[in-house]
Amino acid sequence: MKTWLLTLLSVVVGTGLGVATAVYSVRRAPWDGTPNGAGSPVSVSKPAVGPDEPEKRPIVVVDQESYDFGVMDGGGKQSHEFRFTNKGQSKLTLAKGEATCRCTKFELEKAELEPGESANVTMEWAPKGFRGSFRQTANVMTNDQRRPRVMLAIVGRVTNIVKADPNDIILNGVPAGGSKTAALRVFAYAPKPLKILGYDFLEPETAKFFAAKFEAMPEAQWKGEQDAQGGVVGEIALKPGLPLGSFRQTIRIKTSYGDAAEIEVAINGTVVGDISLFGPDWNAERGVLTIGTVNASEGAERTLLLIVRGDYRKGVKLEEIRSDPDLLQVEVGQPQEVEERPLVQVPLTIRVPKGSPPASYLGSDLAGLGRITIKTNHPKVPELIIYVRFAVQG
Amino acid sequence: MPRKLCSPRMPEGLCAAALLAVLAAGCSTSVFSGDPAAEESASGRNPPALTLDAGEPRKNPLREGTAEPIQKRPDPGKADPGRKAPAAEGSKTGQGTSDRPPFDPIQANGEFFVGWPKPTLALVFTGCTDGYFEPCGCAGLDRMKGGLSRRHTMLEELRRQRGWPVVALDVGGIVKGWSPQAVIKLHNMVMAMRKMGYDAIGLGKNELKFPGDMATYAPSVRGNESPFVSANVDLIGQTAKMRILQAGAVRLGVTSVLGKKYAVELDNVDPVLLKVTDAEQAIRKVLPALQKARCSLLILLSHATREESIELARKFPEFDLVATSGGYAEPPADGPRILGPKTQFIEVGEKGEYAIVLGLFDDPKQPVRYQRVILDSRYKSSPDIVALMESYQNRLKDEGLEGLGVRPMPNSRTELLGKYVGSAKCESCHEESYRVWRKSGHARAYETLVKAAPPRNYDPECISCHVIGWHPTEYRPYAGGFWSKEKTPLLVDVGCESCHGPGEAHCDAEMPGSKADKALQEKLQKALVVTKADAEKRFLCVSCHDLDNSPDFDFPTYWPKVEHYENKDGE
Repeated sequence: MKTWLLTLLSVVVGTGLGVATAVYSVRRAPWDGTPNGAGSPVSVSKPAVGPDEPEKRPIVVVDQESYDFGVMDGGGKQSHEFRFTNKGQSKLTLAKGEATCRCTKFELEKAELEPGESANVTMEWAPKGFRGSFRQTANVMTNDQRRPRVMLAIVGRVTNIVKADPNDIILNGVPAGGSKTAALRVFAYAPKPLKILGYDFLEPETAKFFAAKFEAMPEAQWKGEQDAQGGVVGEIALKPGLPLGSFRQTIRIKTSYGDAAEIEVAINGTVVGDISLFGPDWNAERGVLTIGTVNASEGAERTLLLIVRGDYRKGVKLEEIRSDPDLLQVEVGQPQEVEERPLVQVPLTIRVPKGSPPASYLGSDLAGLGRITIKTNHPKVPELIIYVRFAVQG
Repeated sequence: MPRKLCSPRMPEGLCAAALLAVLAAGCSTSVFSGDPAAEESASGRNPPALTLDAGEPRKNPLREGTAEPIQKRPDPGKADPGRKAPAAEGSKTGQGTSDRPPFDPIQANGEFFVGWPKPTLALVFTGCTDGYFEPCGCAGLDRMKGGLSRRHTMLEELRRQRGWPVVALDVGGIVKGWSPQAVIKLHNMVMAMRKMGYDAIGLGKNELKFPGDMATYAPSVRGNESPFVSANVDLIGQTAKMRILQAGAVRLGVTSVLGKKYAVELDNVDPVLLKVTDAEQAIRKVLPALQKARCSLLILLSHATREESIELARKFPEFDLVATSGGYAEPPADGPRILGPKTQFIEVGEKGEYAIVLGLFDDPKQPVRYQRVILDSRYKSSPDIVALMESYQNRLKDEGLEGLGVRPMPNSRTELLGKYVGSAKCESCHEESYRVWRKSGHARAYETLVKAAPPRNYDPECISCHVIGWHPTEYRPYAGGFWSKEKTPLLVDVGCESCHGPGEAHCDAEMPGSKADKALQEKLQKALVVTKADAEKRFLCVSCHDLDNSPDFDFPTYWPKVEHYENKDGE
C-alpha cells in the first residue's frame, strides 16, 4: 500500500471577465501566406442565360415559393398548391426533382405548360410522429434556363394538441435532506377548455417523495405562447428524504382532452452530498471509474473533478490515499475556491503508469475492481471510495 | 477604431490594400499563441501586441463588396458529368437496402463548393447535434444524413485535401435526454469534437443539465484550452466569455449565449455549479472587450430559439454573423437571411445533419460564399470517430443496463395482459401470422444490432426498437420486457408482442383446462387486436420508423410487408 499525506491549499479563482477571457490561435490550418485570388477576381460559374432568342424562351413564374402551414397536429396532414405560370413564349416543361424526404409528397398537375398557361404543384406533408418546427423542400426542374430549378418550401410547427413545457424537469444538485420545486406549464392548442383531471407518479418506489398542484393559467400568460389557446400552470415538488444519487420519476397527467392527450413528463435529477465527483468514464451511480484495458507501454490516466460544497468546504483535506493494487497512482491537483460560489474544486488524476505489470481488475462486481480509498477530514464524508475497472496487458 | 475604418463607407481599395499588405508580409504565425500579454489585451486591459498592421483597418469580408454577396448553392442537376457516383456506404446493419437501387448522394444532394476558389477562411458552423453521434441506420446508413464521423471527414477534406484554412464553430446542443448513458455519450462526443478541432463551442441547454460533467472541461481541471465559450453561462467560475481566434490574416471574435426560453429549463439545475444570467446583459458586458480586440469579424453563437436569436441579431448589429440553434430542422439551401444592416443569420439545422460553410474571399465582387453541406454518404467514415464510437459502445457493454441506470417502467397493459412471453409461443395457434412475421425484417431486428460494426446490442437507444417490451423513445424496458439475450432469450427481435402487447394472459386463457371463461377470452383477444387503422392512427409503426430512423418509411407501402389477419373481419 502506498500512502500519501496531503494538505490542500485553496486559491481563489477569479470570475471576472478578464480572467475568463482567452485568446487562441487556430494552429491546425495556418494561413499559408498565399493571397489566393488577390488581384485576380474570382470567376464564378452562373447558370447560362437564355437562348439567342429570349422572346421565345419559356419563363417560369411561381406565385410563392414558401408556404407556412402554421401549427399542425402531429397526426394531421397538410398540403398546399403552388401556382406555376409560363410567362414566356415557348413551352415550359416541369419535372420533379429531389424532395427533402419521402415524407414530403409533391405532385405536378401538368408536365408541360403552353405560353400563358398555369398549373399547380402540390406539396403535402404528414409529420408522422415528428414534433417541432419543420421546413421541407422540393425541387421542380424546368427548361427555363434562367431558373432551371425552383425550390419550393413548406414550413410550420407540429405540436400535440396538449403539450407540457418543459417536457422534462431537471432537479439537479438537490442537497441531501433538501426539497425543491419546479414550475410546469401545460398548454392546449385547440379551442376547448383545458382542465387537469388527475395525475399520478409512475415510479412507485419514489412516488411518495413527489407532489404536484395545478391551477388555471391567466389568459395573458397562455396568450404569450405561440399558437396556444389555453393553459394550466403547475408546480412539481420534491420532498426531503430521497437518498444520495440520481432519481428518475415520471408524472402522468390526465387532461380534459381525453386519453389521447394524456401527458407524461419526466422528472430527473440528483441528490448530492458535500463531496461529489464528475468526469469522463466515471459512473457516479456505481462509484466506478472505467479505464479499461491499458497497454503497459503506454499507461493511461483519467482526470476527475472533485467538488466540495457546504460549510466545511474551505478546510477540507484529503488526508490519506490508499490504492489497491498499489500500481494505481493518484495525483491531487490544486484546490481552487470560486468567487461567489460555495464550492471548492479539486482536479483528481488517477493513473495507470507506464511500465505497470500485467493485471486484471475488470470484475463484474465491485470486489473484482481496483479500489482507491481517500480519507478526509470532512465530518460528514470521512472516506471516499473510487472503484477502478482496468487491466494492464503487454 | 479599425472596424469604423473598414466600414462600407470607406473606399474598398483601402481595406483590400491593407489586407494584401498583411498577406504579403506573411501571417502564418499567430501573434496570440499562448502569449499571456495578448490574453490580457483581449480582455480589454491593454492594447494587443499586434504585428499585424497596427492601427490599420481590418478587412471585414462581410461588410464589403457588392449587394449580392452570397453565391447560391449550385444546381444539383449540374453535377460534373464525368464524376462517378461513390460506392454506397451501405447499411450499418447490412439490412434493408437490397431491394433498392444504389443511392447516389451527389445526384440526390448536388455537388458542394462548385466554383469555389481557395477561400481566405472557411467558417464551418454546426450545432444541435442532439445526441446523434451517428444517424440511425435502419433505412441503410447510406441514405441517412449526419453523424460526427462524416462531419470529421468533411472538415478534414477542407483542411487537408483542399488546403483551406478552417475555423469550426458549434452553437451547442451536443446531447439530449437525461441518463447515465447521456453523460457517457456527452464525454465521447466532446472528445470527438476535440478531434475535429473545434475552435469555439457554445453551451447548449441539454449539456448544461450535466453541469458537473461539463465543468470537467474547465481549463483548471484539464490544464489546456477549452473550446467552450459563453457570455451568460458560467460553470464553476471558469467559462470563457469570449474567444479571439487568429486564423491567418483574419481575426475573429466569438461569443455565445444561452437564450432565456432555454435558460428557464435550467432553473433547477445545481446552482452551485451553474449560473445563467440574462443573455442581452451579458452581451452588453462582453461586447466592449470583443470590439477592443479589433477583430475582422464578430460572431455570436446563439443557443436560443429562432425568434430570440433574430431579436438578438437585431439588437446587436455589431455582430457580423449570428448562428442559431433554433432554426428549422433543415437549414436554408440558398443562403443566410440578412438581418439589420448586414448581419448574416445562419441556421444549422438539427441532429447534426448539416454543416454550414461560409467562405470568405479576398474578392470585392464576391467576398462571401455560402454552402449548406448535407452530411451524406459522400463523406466516408472517419477512423478516429469510428474508434470513439467503438469505445463508447464498449463502455455501454461494460456498464450493462444496470450500470446505465436503466430501470423497467410500469406498463399499464400488464394488469390485464400479463407478462411478455415471446413470439415463439404464438406460433402454435397463429401459424400463418407467425410465418408472415418470420419472413419480415422484424424477426431479424436484434441480429442486425449484433452484426453492426461496432455491435450496438448493448446500446439502450438502439435496443429499444429491436426487441420486445421496450418503450421506443424512453430507451427503457417495460416491466418484464427484454433485458439481455442471456436473461430473456425469447424477447429478442421485434416480435408479436411489440405491436400487440404482452401475451401471457391470452396464452393462459386459451390453454386447455384454463379457468378463463369465454368473456375473458374474448376480452383478452380484443385487447391484443391491432387493425391497420389502429397502427396508422396510434403511430404504432412510426414510433420506431420515424423521420430520423426511417425517413423513407411510408405506411401504405410497408404495411403489406407485415400484414396478417386471424379472421375475416380484418383483425
